[in-house]
Amino acid sequence: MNENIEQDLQKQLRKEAIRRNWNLFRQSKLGMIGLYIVIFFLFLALLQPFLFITGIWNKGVYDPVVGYEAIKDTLLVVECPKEYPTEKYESMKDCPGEGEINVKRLYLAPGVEVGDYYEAFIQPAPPSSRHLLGTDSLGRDVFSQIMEGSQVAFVLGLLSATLGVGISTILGTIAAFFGGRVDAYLMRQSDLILMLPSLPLLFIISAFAELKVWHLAVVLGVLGGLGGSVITIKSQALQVKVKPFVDSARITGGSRWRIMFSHVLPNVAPLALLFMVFSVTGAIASESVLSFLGLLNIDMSWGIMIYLSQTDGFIFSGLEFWWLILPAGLAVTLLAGGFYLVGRGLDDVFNPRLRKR
Amino acid sequence: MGEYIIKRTLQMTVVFFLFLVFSYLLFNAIPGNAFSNLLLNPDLPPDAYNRVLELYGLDKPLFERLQLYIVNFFKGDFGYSYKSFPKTPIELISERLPRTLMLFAIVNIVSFYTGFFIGKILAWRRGSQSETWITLTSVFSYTVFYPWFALMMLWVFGYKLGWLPIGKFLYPEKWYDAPFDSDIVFSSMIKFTIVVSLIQFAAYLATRGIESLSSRRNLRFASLIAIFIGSYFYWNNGAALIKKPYAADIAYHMILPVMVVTIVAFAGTALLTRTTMMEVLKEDYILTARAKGISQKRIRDRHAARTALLPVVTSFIFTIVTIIDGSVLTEQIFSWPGMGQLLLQSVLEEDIPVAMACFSFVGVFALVAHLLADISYSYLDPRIRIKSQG
Amino acid sequence: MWIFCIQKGEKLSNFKGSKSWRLILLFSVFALVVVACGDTAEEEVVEEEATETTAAPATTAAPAEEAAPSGPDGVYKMAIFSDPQTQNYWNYLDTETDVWTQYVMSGQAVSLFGISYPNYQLTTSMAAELVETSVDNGDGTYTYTVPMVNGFEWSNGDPITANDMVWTYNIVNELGLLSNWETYYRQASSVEGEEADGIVSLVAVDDYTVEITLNFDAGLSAWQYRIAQAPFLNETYWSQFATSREDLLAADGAAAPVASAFVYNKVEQGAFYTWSYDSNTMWFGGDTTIYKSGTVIEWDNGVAPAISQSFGDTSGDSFTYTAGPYVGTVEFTLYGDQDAAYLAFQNGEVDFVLNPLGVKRNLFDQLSRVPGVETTANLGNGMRYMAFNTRVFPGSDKAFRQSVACISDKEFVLNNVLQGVAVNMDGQMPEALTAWVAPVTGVLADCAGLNAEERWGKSVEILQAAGWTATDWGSHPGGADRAVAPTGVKGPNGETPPSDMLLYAPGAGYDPLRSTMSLFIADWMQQLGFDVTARPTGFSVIVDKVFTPETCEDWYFYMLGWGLSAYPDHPEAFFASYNDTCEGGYNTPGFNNAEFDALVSEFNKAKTVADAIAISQQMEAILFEEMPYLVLFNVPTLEVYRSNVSFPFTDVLDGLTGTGGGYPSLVKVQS
Repeated sequence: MNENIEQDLQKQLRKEAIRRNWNLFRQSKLGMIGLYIVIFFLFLALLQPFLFITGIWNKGVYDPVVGYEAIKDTLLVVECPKEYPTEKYESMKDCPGEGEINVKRLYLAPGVEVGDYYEAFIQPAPPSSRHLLGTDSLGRDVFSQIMEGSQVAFVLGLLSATLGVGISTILGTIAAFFGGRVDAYLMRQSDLILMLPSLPLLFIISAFAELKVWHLAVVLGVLGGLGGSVITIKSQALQVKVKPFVDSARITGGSRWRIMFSHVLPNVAPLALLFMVFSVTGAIASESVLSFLGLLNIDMSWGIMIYLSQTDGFIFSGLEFWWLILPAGLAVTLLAGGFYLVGRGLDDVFNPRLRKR
Repeated sequence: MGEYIIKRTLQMTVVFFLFLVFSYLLFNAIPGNAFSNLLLNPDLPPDAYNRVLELYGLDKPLFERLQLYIVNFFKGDFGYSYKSFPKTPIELISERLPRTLMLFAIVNIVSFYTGFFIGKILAWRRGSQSETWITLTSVFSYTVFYPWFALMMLWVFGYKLGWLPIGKFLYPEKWYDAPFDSDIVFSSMIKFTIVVSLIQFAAYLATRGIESLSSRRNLRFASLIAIFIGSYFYWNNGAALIKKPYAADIAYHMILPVMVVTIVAFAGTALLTRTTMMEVLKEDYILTARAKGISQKRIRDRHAARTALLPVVTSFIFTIVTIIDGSVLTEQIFSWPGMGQLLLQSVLEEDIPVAMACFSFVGVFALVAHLLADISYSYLDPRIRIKSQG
Repeated sequence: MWIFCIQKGEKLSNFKGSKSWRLILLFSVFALVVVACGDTAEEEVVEEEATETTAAPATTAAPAEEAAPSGPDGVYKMAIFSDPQTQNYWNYLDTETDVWTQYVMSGQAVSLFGISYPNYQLTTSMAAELVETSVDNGDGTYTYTVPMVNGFEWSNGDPITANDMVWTYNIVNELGLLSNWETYYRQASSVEGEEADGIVSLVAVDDYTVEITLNFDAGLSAWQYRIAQAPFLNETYWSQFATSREDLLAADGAAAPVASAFVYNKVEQGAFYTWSYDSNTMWFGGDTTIYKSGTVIEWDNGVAPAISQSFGDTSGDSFTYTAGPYVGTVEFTLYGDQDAAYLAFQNGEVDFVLNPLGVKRNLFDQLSRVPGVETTANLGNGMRYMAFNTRVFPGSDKAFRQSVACISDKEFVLNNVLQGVAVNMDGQMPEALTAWVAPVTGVLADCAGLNAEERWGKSVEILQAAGWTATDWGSHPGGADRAVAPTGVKGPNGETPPSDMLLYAPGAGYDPLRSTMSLFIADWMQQLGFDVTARPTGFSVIVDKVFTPETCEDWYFYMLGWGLSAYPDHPEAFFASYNDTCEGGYNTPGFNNAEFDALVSEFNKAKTVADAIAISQQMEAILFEEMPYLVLFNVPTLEVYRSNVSFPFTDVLDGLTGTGGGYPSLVKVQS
């Protein structure tokens, strides 16, 4: 009976703490902006499977990887002039105009001459009501790819961050608590990890291991978890270790492990949570960079979208094909920034010194 | 202290040894080897490939090769590059290093100062509308998808506006008759930069004690002018005069990369400065200073900022460690053939001796920097004397 | 000037303002000082550019101009993407075969025979005549006696003689040079004492006659296209370094004598390389007339020995071009990033981008609209293919391979999904080698033009006819829908196909074309009741798996590509049973067909191109029937150049980069 009451009380206290923290978090304008961004992308990530399951989207058309829709149009074959402006075209950008196709593009279609009508596939197709963000050069829906990319980003970011922070919290606490050889070993281990140049290291790993999204998440998580964050968590745990309540727990005869898990860890947790949110940012950026360099063998991600638009030569086309360049690039930036802002907000919550004057 | 350094050095040696072994095994875990491409040439006799492997010792068992490599490494023999045989990794690194050092020294200094400056303002304007906007901008420039952003900037400034060159570090036409290699120009530029920053740093130290804000500023300003005059003479006389146009060409090509990296990198420093400074502002002595009626600006610049500098400097040291690592993308996009490209290329081509040499270079650099950071940190802040260290 | 600077500074130190505009003032004075002292980079450059643009031509070319009043001027600027690893020709052919090294490599070597582009016609180079027949010595050895042209000189004034070739041959053997050297000058017996086809002796009868004795009856691929095209270098210069392989490869190649009009001028590692016109050169001029399969060379510039020769079939349409060089300087600028290179090209900073893969189609499309940009599209000399492992079931079953070939509607993927980025390819020969292309026969011919339903039906028929069984053969609903796949498919002898077979193909990041194709082909195999999944895999991982003898049975299907050489003898390398990958060769499918092997040995002995073509076509007929490879497509090489440069021809298989490295000695540049 007594126990029940105690449990209820604890539950209530916890609830209370959460509500208090939430109120604190809400005061942080930046944190809320970040949260809205994250929720927006989470919504996108979940919307895509919903659209497929309910059949609103046909998998054959909207699948981000093998989907295809032939948007055909009959176009007039023209030859773009060498000098601008001409009567018909103001500048280079206006040729080929509406309903026209440059004869140079048809190098594989024999016998097509200027003035003919040619039935061409419009790829990449500009945004339309069917394809909100248009299609890419393989006729795939860009909006669906963005959704798929945000699934990848969430899986990757959250998995690697959880794993990394889990590892570094446990190791950091152990290092602080046991000290001596264990500490020295763990610190040198993080030195070793920090010594490895991270981007080339990821190249190597992606070269010998077939990295799927979750493999990459594990790799990033482990590397992040063994590296610098152990040191930071350790110093935080050291501060907790000398607090009076730890001493009193020791005096009342709690075992070392028990003290560590029930007293020290919870006090390190806020910092760990903060780290986690920040490392999501890092994970998303790492994936994008690796994909951007063509080193990841995954089907779709934001990095791959940018990579493809780059190798296809769209990245320097100005804003003519903006739907291939901007959405993916902005999505990476926004989601990474969103998580970072949430981290900022949490920082304000957990770090009383930073609260408003 | 001495004992601590010795102990750390010993541990570092062990860590470095492990690092070498670990990296070597890692490189060998990559499928294929530097000569796998020969396998794809059907015109070659089948045993030609094996003969190449034999010559470069790649046919030996992994363990034997590892042993040989480690032994030779500590003898100071890093082998030959597989791909650029018979160049040695040291030759390749010494060719590339000045270029990277030059670019990223400037980038780091510029972004550090910008970041610190903006961070200071951010912390001070806590709660204001402008803080929100500056923070938002900083966060997004911090998390922007870097290669994408860099390409966009290249397009805007290099092509659309045509103000700045599109990558590279020189205009070949200007160098047709250059009597020396670019590396010579790079090294004199680096020397120049080092001397200038040392002078400025010395001036900063010398004027630290001066109480009056304006005379301190003016003295520093005078030293800056002295530097300008000095450099004017330096570049217009003697050996440097011939190098001047070439150095100017390189400097012109540095503007865009420095700008782009600064935009991305300053935010890290700014956000860190903001946090630490806000913590400092809550300290008792700041309150005391306020109570004493010292002007806000003075508190900000003299009291708070100086203390807040400490963790920022530490993080700066750690940033320097990542110079080579971080230069990979920048060098790729801006066609700046430095260490980052060498590292990337040697890893992709599985040129193990070169890749190992680059890795060890980065590793040694990192170890020493960490040690220095630890020592200087405990030295600068007496509250954190080396106690907690293992 | 500097006094002014100080005065400014002193004045300011007396100023006692303390508001924020003080900072602004400080900055403005700072800027003033910067400008006044003229010390910052930007300032210098503006000045520099102004002076350089006017002064550059005069100063740059002055030393060369004075010495060679007749030499051409103008600069031909090309972009490269990767730093050449060496300027030393020995080193370049030893293990380093990087294309970038090749493009920037000066003409340090010559050979007996050569090839004329764009018709890929075999011609003479240093040889006085195209010696195609050997003398049978009766003891199993065959001797070729090749006369050389008397009068050609290296740029250091040495005559090019038979002794250079003999010396090169000896050095390659003595110093044990590797890879390409070993290929060109392959020795008659290998180290283990086994009898191997190769050169028994290579000697100079006199200064202008080489005598090459082989221990086998060489055909085109061994004689005309290998030994007779083996490069040889100047003896006087190189012999001083030829003490060991390492010394030779480390020697300075930039100073080596060349047999061309260009010598290295400035080598700026990691930035740019230039060649400049050698005023004393004899290597200029000469008219080349190109026929469809024949070439006439007329060369009489008054300095070099006069040459007038014709090769091949000199009938039909032709065009003639006169060789340059028309430029005084050739510049290779390094760009780390391809986009940056094309941006610089668009800006007019370079005239041509050396890119063996060519421009991507969309970039090509955009660039073609830019004023001042000319475009050219050529087929690549290569193919992308999917290989079946014929060592393991089900790849070992001919009917299975045929049915997969039949159901794979490559045209659909290429034309619709990939939107005509690549051209369908059925046989082993690129379409542009018209004479070599064999008529499509067998299952590919039968299934051509069928729709999805008919293809599926036909494929099932092929399986059924070969004795395959299934519990339910499924059905095809017609149209664009997927078929209801057969279930319980079993081979003719009751074997069950393995489940979860993988089709390795490069990922979308490496090659979106193959990646897309692999997804479709895997899906079609699924529709035939085989559990195949396309697995995007790193290039090096695929290569490691399929070319390693130990793992030659560990895969079912993979997709890769081949770049081909000027002489299309690749079916021999890819499918002769003695080239099986399990034994270390290039026959990854493990194709083993006695009839084919017999044709291969005939092919290897063929002495003329006409014979070789006839045999090659018979070989291809077998391949069309047996389908060890499903040849997929050919990717055109799209190239762009500034309209101020003009090439004598732009239609050439494999493009301007692949065949001539941008043709620096033929190109004309208007300033």
